[in-house]
Amino acid sequence: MEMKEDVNVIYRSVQENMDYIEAKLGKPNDLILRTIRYGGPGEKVGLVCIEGLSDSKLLNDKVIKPLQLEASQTRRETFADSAEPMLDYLEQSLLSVTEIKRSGDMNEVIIAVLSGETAIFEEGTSSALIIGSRGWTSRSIEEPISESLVRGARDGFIEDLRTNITHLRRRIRDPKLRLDAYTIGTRSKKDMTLVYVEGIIHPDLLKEVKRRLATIDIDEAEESGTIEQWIEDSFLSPFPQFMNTERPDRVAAAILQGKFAIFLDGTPFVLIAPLTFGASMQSPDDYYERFAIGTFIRILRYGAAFFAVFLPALYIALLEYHHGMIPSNLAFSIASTREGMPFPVIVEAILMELTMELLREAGLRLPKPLGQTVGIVGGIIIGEAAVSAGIVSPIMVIIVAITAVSSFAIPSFSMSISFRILRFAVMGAAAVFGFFGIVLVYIMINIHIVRLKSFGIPYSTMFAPMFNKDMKDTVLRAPLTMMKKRPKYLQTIDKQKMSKGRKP
Amino acid sequence: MRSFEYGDREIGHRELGFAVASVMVGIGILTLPKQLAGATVAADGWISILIGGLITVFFVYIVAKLGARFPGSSLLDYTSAITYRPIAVVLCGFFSLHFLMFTAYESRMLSMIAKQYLFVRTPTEALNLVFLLVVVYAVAGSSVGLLRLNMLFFPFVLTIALAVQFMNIGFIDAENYFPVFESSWLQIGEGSLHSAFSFLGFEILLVYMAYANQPKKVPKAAMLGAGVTMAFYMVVYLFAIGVFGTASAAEIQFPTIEIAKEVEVPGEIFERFESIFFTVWIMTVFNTTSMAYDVALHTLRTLLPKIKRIHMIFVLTPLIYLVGMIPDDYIELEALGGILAYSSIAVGMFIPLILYIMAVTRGVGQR
Repeated sequence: MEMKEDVNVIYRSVQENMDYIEAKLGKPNDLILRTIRYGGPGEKVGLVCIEGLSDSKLLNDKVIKPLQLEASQTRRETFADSAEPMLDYLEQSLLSVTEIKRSGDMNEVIIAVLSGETAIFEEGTSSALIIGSRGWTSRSIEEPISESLVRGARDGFIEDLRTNITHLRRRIRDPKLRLDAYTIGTRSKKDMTLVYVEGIIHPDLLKEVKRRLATIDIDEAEESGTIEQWIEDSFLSPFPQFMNTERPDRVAAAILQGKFAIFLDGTPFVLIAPLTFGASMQSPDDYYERFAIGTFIRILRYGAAFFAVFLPALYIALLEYHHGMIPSNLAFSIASTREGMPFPVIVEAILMELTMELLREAGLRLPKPLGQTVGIVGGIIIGEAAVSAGIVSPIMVIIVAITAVSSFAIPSFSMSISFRILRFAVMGAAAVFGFFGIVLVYIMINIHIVRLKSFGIPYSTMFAPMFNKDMKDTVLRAPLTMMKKRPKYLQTIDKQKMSKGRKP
Repeated sequence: MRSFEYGDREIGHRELGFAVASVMVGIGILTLPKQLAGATVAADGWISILIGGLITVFFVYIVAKLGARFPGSSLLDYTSAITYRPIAVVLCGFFSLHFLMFTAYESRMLSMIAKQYLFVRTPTEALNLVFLLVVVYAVAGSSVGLLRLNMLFFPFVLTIALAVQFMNIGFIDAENYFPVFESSWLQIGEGSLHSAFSFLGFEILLVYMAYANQPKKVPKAAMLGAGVTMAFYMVVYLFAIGVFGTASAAEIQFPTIEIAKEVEVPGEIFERFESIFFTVWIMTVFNTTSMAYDVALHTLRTLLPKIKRIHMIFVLTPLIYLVGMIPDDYIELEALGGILAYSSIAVGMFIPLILYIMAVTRGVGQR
């Protein structure tokens, strides 16, 4: 059949519509085209859907069966006065499905079919019914792999957008929860949803994110990372300006604080913004455990962040420039272990850190059972062998190990990667300028952080610009009953989180 | 994005309070105990710090009040409004020259002290260069960023510095504080001059006031900043005298750093604590230097609005570096410091006072 020009209208003939769709999609073998007669000749409807994307059980029981068995003349005549009697009859009376809508636009119909809906054409009518019949097999809900907690909900997001939204709906039953739908990708036409709570989020923030989302012009959005990179404030920064999470409880908490979340179909990772440095160092279980534990763990985490970035550099600087600062006993033991080492400290450090990064990367790529083997082979065997071969000193192995463990303790994986990159810059500076170099790089990182913004909110917020009230939830985590207000820096409309003056 | 009410060109009064405190604490306090010990008897220098500090607080008030009369207008604008434009242009030129020299002085001084305490072989030229490059990176961005850096660094540096002082509490010899009130008024006066010099730098308010979002609240915050600095100096001075005694304090080049040498970290994790202390101190010197440079650039931009800020930085930085490298040693550098102290008194005290009086009598600006 000859390919017809693109049209937007729906033909009056069922066959013509079906032929058009089939030709447009290139006669795929998973396209189901079904004609059903319900009365005399010419009284027929056409049904179009894609196998695997649509729920065939639903179609059989609720659409095809009623059409074949129950489409009775008398009940049809109830709708005889309307312009499109058969479609009205199907829509309002016959079909027992929850989601159904009318369309007169062929393109819309085709996209709906490609998304898993089912289209029904009627002979002699220039509009179609779109039946919500999406139903495909997806992964079952599992515990989030990248963010496991000891205490806290065990369910994680999956690749299916609707399931993910359900997770959120179950947590927030506020009628003001808003879900704005977007279609992303000129070719992929993926569903994306912007989620926020009206009456909490600052209107300007909302306006800005909507503006940025509207600018997205891309063939396909593979993962939420694509969206993130398109709308982030600074692509040169080593720091993430969005938080990505697999945890529904995290998303719920964030949007109730006055942030927004972006769900994309096909990925379990949901984006949350605006992000600040302080927020990226928090983990949901800080709030689930009692405040003393939460506070202690947060302080520990800031310490871990410091070690992850600066520890190898400090070691290099001490050994290369400031040996005077090491207490004499320790200096002797370090000197004895370093005796006969072929490389300067910086080479040793870079060698070991790179090996460590390689091991981590290799462990990620391999199948899970093998990944652990790599850890053991790398961590124990290579470390041990390198020391006994006299290539690296044992203290260096300790330093590298502490650094690695510290970087694992950062709750956000993206943040941890940033720290790992920065570590090498600091090491270089320490090798050239010792402590002076380290402090200058530290200053430069800070200069960058105070300039960086995530949706207009300075990355350094809570420290500078400082909000005294928000300090309750930064490095410290105040007792729950004391955190009566939402974070001030988000300038929410509804400021109060708890009623005033109530005590348990 | 229009920055969601954090406006990149708007500065809160709290930021300015921090800025005032942070810009004062720089190189000056490192040598202040030595100068005071040389000028006064026993621990009488505290009177000098008090007098110098109170004078400073007064002028901080004047400067902030002057700026608050003209919210949103630059130094050039309001000086021309009060006097005449040619005078304003000359003043602004002098102002920016002063701060450029100040930048050169601070960065050179820092690299010399860094060489003394952290390095033996690395040449000062290299240290000065990298430090200036970091300053350039900082001033290439917005002023608000610099003021936020103050808020990140200053509390941290202050905490470390106070901790170092209080770790020395066991080494204080009470004998060193006696006799009291033995200094003559002349000696106290000389000391006050020294301490007033070490407080200078608050002139930056003349420029930053234009960006304050609540100018009326600034005088109080800025005075508070100056007050905190004064208290801090007092503590530093009293500890230096208590630990070293007047005679040795007068001979030690940087008593404030040397005092860290005495510290014994529990468990002896570190020796030579003064290196770590100075490393932390670099942050506050950085703040002082970058704000000085930023203020100079702002003022120059009002004089020469057609030249881009970044081009100015490219031209001025090599000059700053060269000027900074002219003095050969501490003595020559201190001579430059002396000149700067006097020009600073002119820029920070006399000129604002005259301008303020003229503004009030002529009734220019808002009340």
